[in-house]
Amino acid sequence: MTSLEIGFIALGFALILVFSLLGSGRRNGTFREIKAFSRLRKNIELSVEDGTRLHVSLGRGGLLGPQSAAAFAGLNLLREVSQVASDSDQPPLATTGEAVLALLAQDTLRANYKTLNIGEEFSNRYAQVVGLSAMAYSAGLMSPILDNEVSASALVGNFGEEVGLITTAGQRSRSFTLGGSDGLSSQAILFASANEALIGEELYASAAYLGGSTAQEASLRGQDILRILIALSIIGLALSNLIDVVL
Amino acid sequence: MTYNYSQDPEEQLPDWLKALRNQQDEEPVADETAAEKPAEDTDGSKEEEEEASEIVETNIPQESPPSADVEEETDPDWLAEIRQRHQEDSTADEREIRDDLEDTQPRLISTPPEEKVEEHAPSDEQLSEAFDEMETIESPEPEGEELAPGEVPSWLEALRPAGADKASGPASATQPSPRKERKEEQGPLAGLSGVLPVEPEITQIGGGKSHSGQLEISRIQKQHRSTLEEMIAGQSATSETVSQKVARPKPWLGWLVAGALLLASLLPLLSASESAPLPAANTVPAVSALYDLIEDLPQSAAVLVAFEVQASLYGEVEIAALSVVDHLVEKEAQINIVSTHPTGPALADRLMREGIGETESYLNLGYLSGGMAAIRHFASHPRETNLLPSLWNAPALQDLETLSDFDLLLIISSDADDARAWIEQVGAETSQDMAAVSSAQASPLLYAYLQSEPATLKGLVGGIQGAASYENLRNQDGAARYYWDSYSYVLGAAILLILSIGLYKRILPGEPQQAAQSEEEKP
Amino acid sequence: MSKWRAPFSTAIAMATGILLLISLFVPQLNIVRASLLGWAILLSAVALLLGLVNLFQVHLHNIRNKEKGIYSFVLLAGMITTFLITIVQGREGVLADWLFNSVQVPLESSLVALLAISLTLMAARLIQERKDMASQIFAATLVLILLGSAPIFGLDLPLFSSVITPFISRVLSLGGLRALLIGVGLGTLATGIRILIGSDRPFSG
Repeated sequence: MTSLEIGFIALGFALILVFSLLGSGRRNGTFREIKAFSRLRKNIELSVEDGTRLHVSLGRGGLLGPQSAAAFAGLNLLREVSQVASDSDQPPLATTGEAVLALLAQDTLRANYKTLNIGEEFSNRYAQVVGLSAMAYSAGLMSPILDNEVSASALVGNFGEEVGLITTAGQRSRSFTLGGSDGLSSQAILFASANEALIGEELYASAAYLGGSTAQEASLRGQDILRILIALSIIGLALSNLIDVVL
Repeated sequence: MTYNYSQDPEEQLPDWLKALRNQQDEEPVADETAAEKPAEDTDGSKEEEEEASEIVETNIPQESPPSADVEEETDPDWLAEIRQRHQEDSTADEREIRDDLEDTQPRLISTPPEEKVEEHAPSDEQLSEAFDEMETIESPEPEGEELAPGEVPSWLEALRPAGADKASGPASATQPSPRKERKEEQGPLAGLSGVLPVEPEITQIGGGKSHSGQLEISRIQKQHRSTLEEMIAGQSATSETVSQKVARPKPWLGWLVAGALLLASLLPLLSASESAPLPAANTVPAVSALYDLIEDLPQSAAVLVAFEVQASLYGEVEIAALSVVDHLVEKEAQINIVSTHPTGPALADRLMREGIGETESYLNLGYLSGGMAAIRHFASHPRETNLLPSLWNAPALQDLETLSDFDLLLIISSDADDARAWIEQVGAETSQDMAAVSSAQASPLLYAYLQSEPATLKGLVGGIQGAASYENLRNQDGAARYYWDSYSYVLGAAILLILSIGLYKRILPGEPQQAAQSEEEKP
Repeated sequence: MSKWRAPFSTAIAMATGILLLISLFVPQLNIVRASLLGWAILLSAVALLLGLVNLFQVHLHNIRNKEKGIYSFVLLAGMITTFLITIVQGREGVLADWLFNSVQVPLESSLVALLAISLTLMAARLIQERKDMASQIFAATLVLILLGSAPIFGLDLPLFSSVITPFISRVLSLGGLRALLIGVGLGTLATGIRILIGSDRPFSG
């Protein structure tokens, strides 16, 4: 690992820590509006009022690679959603394509149920593995989505091109679909087919936008600064190369 | 004064009250006689009316109150104010209302509505008399005569319910004598005695003050209102939360698209068409680079093939990989296959056996669980990973300790992320040449590794297009040539379908453009 | 015990992450890193079995409650049959090989074919229903890429195949892809840091 890479990681560390400490105890959310999250929040409220079910799908990403970050973003969203909707008529359903992710989802839901003092109503079936390969996963997801009780689906995690079949099922059931993935082809498919799509790093902002902690907001700010630095570096390097070429 | 129902209340009335009654009886009786003639449309019989008039005559005191004349001459200020207020309140609308009430209720006395209103409404004279009486009561009483507590003026007496024979005014005309209980003559309670009289006869007395329906707003309240309006106007309007239904795709469109694409793909295959021109040999530099890389391999080179293919996309990757793997077999390379997908080893066997027809010149190292972490571990300690140890004892692998000992790492991948994982993890540990065969959707991302300096990837064959170019380089017709025409027609069909379905509503004249449906309720 | 679970698991996660990070700079810790990675690899294999167990439980419940019981029954029957056959014969056994090559691969391939039809319809609906600039650019780019990917109905279009499509795919879209990757990378970095400092705890329950 080069010193540049080490320095970049250290800078990210420092920014997140500093913003966490500065924002400790108060919420300083002044982020731009992401329409996807606003619509998701409305649909959560509507589904609780209607007595219909929310569905959160965490994708197929395991925890032993970079796709785990998308999986954690999905778990954060699941936590925020279940805090609102766990005591509704139809509790939220979490589906995954990977076993460890299903265990974490069960853990998250169980914790929320305990917090709401309805721990006895929790069942392990509220977080389930529906398929272990890409197409098996999409086929397994069609059943809960086409079920009339699901009014909104949030597909947040690591998906491949099979997400196109999942959003098609959402369209057939006339339910709201929000999609976010770290895969590039899946982002393109979600942009074309989902009601709302999270592009790029919007996926990782889900927890902060849906009422997350100070640290999550701080990490968003840290990401913003790092992104600006990268952009300036790219522009600077491109200009310097251009000058070298010209001269 | 306590009221004893067993006694004749007439005997207990004071003289002044009796006089007042008599005076009032004379007035309504005169009105009744005048109204009897035109009252033919009223409910009730003439006999009932006569009986009622008898009752009126009986109850109305004959004597006029002695203080009436005195009252007119000396009106105190407070009384004049009351009288004036009473006059203001008694508006024509009220009289109409009373008239309406009179019209809807059965009548006991056939008097004109206007006169009846006047009957029940205590007149000014009556009021003054009443208050005079009160004054008289308060003034020193002549000896021998004690005023009993609880004496009330006539108009107030008229408010008593039926059976309480205290009223001296016109109301008493409708109230029966306490001795004989009043028998209801009209309405649903006809024939019953001791019931309350009909509502208008009670509520008509002293018609209520009419209140304006307009809210009285003070100046300060108006200022507060305008301030509040400014505050609310400054807020952004909140959008109404309505559930939006997603427009469902039409089923027949799906069948149309499926049929068209199937037809476009099958017809060239069935007709064995080879009309579509293959891409030129050197048009894709990445393909040429891979060809040259394999051509430059030494005899019996050790090649590690990372087979990261999902079963669903095997069909496409097979077309792209067949020509390259066949080239390796042709060069007599020792192919060693490993995969981090559970189905990877089985698919690799299928490729080698059914695609290449080769069963001996390759070694399938099996499934490597753990994803990227496993790749990293394998890159640094290949013999210590959880593959079968006996495999490493094979003659082809006996001299290989690290990945750098391999001559080429060929990544066959259906997904860009899998290929990236191998490139980034192995590239960090070794400096061996790497090349890739991928599906069409993964190849754009892998071009970035081709264009980097130094180039991480030395060659790339992407999708059926890359395979067709590779076959052209080898001057051999393979799977790409077989499927090339079908691919060409399917692409054309897809473009036509997308444009025609997408644009037909905009092109056809008179077709309204439909926006996304938005409805109030979800079914 | 339950109240110690959260801080205990958080401590393990933080310690492991920091140890792995330090091992990248301290060569003496390579052995530790190798061991930890080995454990993770083993756990991921076990997780695969756990996934099968979870799948089994869910569909068994469906059969018992008769919620789409027939589909769950077919799934469980297929799962158990394949499992037993592969255990008995091995991966290269005749029946196991037949089940994989003649049942599983065609099934998954047919789903991809269904995906192709769905994507075609999706593209058409995008043009039909969305009027915003981003969607129109997306649709136009899609059509241009398709026109240059191969000859259309057997006719080569050199303007698209040699000029437009390579420019779009290897210059314009590659820049966008890299930007997206940078964003995803930053998000991954931030998530990893939050887990290392113990702020994100998806495992603590």
